[in-house]
Amino acid sequence: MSPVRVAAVADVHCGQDSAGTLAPHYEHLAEHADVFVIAGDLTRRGLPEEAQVLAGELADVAAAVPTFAVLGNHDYHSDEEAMVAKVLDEVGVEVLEGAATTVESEGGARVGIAGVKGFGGGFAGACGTEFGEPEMKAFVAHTREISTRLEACLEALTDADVRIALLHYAPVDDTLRGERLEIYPFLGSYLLAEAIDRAGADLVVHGHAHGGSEKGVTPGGVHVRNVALPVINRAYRVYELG
Amino acid sequence: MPSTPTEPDDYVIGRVQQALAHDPRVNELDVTVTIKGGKLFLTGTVTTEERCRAITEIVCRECPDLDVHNEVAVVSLREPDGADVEELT
Repeated sequence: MSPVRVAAVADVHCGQDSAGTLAPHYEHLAEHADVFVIAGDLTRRGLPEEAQVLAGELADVAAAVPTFAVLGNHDYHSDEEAMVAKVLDEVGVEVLEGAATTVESEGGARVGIAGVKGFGGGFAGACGTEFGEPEMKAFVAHTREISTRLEACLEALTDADVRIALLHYAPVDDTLRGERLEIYPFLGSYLLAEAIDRAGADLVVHGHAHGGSEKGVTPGGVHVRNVALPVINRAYRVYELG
Repeated sequence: MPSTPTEPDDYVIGRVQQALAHDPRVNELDVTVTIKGGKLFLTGTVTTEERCRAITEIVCRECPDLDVHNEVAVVSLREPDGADVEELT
C-alpha cells in the first residue's frame, strides 16, 4: 500500500468577500494529496449564499481530489446548516455530519473518514458534567451524543487501511496551547478523544482553536492536528500516513 | 451605547466582543480585545482585508472616546510546496 497523503485545513470562514481568495491557492493540491479534508467553519455565519461562494472556490479542487468536510459552529449560526451542506455536496464536497465514508487513493489504499462537528465540555480535571440545570445537562449531553456517533462511525470503517477522524472541535488540549485556559471548555472535549481511542484511528484533524497549536496526541496515542488557518498559516497542510 | 469615562474597561471589552460577534460584516469570535493605558488593542487574525477594515469601523463606532489600535492580521493563504509534508508513522 502506498502512503496516503491527506491535505487539511479548517476555519476558512467564507463570506461574500471571499470570492476569488481561496481557489488560486488550491491549484496544486491534487499534486500533493490523495484526499482533502476541511474541518469546519466553512462559512462566516452559515448562510447558503456564503456556501455558494465556497462551492465556487472548491469546485475545481473537488473535481480533482476527493474532498470532505464537517460543519463548524459558524455554519450553524443561521439555522441553515442543511442547505449549506447541500450547496457544497452539489460541487462534490461531501459533508460528513455523523457519517463515515471510504475512498480509494491513487496508490490503492482505502481511506476511511469519519466526520462529526464535535462540541465543548472541557478536558480531564476541568470539564462539565450532566448535572444541575437542564441547560448544563443538554450542553454535555450534546457532546456525549456526538462522541458516541463518532465512535460508531469509526468502527464502521472496517474495510479501511487508514482511518481519519474529521472534527471541528478539539479532542485534546494539546492543540489548544496558546488559547486562554478559561475558554478550553468551549473549544473541545475529552469525550471525543475517548471515542477515538476506543474505536481506533490513524489521524484526527480539527480546527476551531485559532490561537492554539498544530500538534497533539490523544491519551491513546493517535496523532491530532489542529489545522485552523491561523495556526497552519498556509492554505492547507499535508500529512502522509502509512 | 457609547463608552463613557466611568465605564470599567472589562465592560467595554465585553461590549466590543459582542459587537464583533454579531456584526454581519465580520461575525468574529476570535479577536482578542484588551485595554491598556487608555488605549484599546485588537489582536488575532481574520481571513480577508475587508473584515480587518470592518473591525476597525465597528470598534471605533462602539468606542468613540477610545484610541483604537487594530493589530489584527490577515491570515496567509500561501499554497505549500511539495516538500512541505509531515510524515506520520
